[in-house]
Amino acid sequence: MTSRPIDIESAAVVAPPRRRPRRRHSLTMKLGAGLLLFYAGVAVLSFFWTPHDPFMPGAGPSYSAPTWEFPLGTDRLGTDLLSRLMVGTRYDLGICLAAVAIALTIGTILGTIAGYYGGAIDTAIMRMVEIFQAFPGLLFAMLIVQAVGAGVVNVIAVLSFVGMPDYLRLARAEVRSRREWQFAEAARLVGNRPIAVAFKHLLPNSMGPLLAFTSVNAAFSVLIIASLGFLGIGLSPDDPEWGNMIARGQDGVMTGEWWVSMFPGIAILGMTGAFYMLGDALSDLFDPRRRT
Amino acid sequence: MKTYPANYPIVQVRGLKKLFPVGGGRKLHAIDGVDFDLQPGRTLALVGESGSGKSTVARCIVRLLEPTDGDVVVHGNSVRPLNPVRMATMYRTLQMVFQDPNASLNPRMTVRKVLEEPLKLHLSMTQDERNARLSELVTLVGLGEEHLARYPHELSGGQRQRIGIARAISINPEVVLLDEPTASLDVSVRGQILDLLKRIQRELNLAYLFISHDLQVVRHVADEVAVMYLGQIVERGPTAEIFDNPRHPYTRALMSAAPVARYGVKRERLRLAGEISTPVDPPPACRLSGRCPIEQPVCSQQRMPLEPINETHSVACPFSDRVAEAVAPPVPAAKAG
Repeated sequence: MTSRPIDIESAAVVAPPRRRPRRRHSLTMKLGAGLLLFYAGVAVLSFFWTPHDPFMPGAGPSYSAPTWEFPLGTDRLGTDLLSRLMVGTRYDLGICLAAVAIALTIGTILGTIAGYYGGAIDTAIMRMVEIFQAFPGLLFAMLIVQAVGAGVVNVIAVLSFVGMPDYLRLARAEVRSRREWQFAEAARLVGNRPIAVAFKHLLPNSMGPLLAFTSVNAAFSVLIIASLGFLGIGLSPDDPEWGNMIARGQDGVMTGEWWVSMFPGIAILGMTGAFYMLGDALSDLFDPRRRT
Repeated sequence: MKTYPANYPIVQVRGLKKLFPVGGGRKLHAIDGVDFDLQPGRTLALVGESGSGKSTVARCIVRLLEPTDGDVVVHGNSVRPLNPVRMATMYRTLQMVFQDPNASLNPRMTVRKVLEEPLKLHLSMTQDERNARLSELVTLVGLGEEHLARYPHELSGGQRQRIGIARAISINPEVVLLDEPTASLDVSVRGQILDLLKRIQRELNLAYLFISHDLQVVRHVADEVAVMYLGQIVERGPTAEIFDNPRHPYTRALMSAAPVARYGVKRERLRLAGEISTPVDPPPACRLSGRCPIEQPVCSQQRMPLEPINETHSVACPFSDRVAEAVAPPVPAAKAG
């Protein structure tokens, strides 16, 4: 992508000056961004330090309730849940970010091309996308993962493939709606080739809504990753992915060992919530209709 | 600055047509056979009411719109067969200033980036040469180097239009199409921008196509005026002649509709009957038929081509001799007051 760094300051002031100045950093944005930074910090920390070995069974007693030594308890095999949860952050956040980044990049490029050129190119790209979108996302992801086999890289590839159409559609709509804008025409007159107009002039002006959408969509990606893990598709059952961990603990829920499934569930809730809040705040910032 | 023999036409527009399909196989005739030349150092004004096709003409010349028929010839070469890359080269000669400076500047680019872009795309300059050119440009349009770091929203409307003009002339074009360059500006700034345009034209010997519906402005800047009505040029001639002795009934009506800032003058308005007729599949008749005060039976039976009435003045009305008798003079004589 040839886009330059996103300049939120100047994006926010495209609107005529008549409008009331908006609060640039709402509480939701601070909360969402803060929570995501926390998750990222935990993920990084897990490379260097965890309270116990997350992969060693028998680090403590089987099904230990939360104690000072095992703050989130242990599972049936006696592995420390906090350590597993910390390492799991790497999986869920990492897979999600990688998949979203790939989907965003490919979707944006194809969507920009489809939106700017229109005609046969547009039709070809959009028909292809519609075929993908005919399947529900999770089902489609399950099918492909089964087909291509398990593994982190495969899961990332499949997720980005499943998520890409949404980015493509949004990028296409954004570029389409701005294609007739005068500065796009002026950019042609300056001597830009059509493709340069699309990527140098139109796309940077569409990045705001795209980023907002990306954040909201990342929340869904986390859910799909966890769902795949829960269903035991894609990742090895030993990987401390959160959905995996919930699946491991589901036997305990009925017999009173609630913590095994509860804490990974809270972790998923927190991460989806964080992405949601950030996305919501970003779309408030960029959506002209909501600027009141 | 290149010099050319007198009356050398840099741009020749011939039989330009633009039809838009409007469904049901019907066609909207936005431009219906327009011819004119643009010459260095001279301004042709294209006037007419909204929807008469003025802007479409400019957009067809630079091929932001693809003409349906006809040709645009620049220095003897047609622009129509050029692919986008070759067309981009053509923009070294052919430039355009847009109507709305708020919309024609990318909100995410500083003035420096806006003005640098054409220099980078067309000329191989070192960064030092570019910087020198940038400061030369902003000075030429009456701004200072401090404006280079600004974003469009940090400039006033007049300043933005100055940047739009600077962008258009940055690579030394020979022809500039001005699409209502002052229409979206405050009256107080309008004069400044017009003076700027005239000064730049003198200094660079530019050919202007000046599109406007503001007759006062046109009288101020144009050497020659072409009046458009429903996609056709109905009258063309030197500015003074068009204003003082309009020969086409439509031109008369247009002139008499313009406000006159002179106290105590009683104006006689020529009002055309009815509404502007539809440009969708127009019949082969004079476009004014049905509204014209001097209409003859023949007017609704054939198209009225633009015919010269002297060396410089052409009218698309065979009854133009009778216009003066039939219709009161539009602009009051100067002796009043």
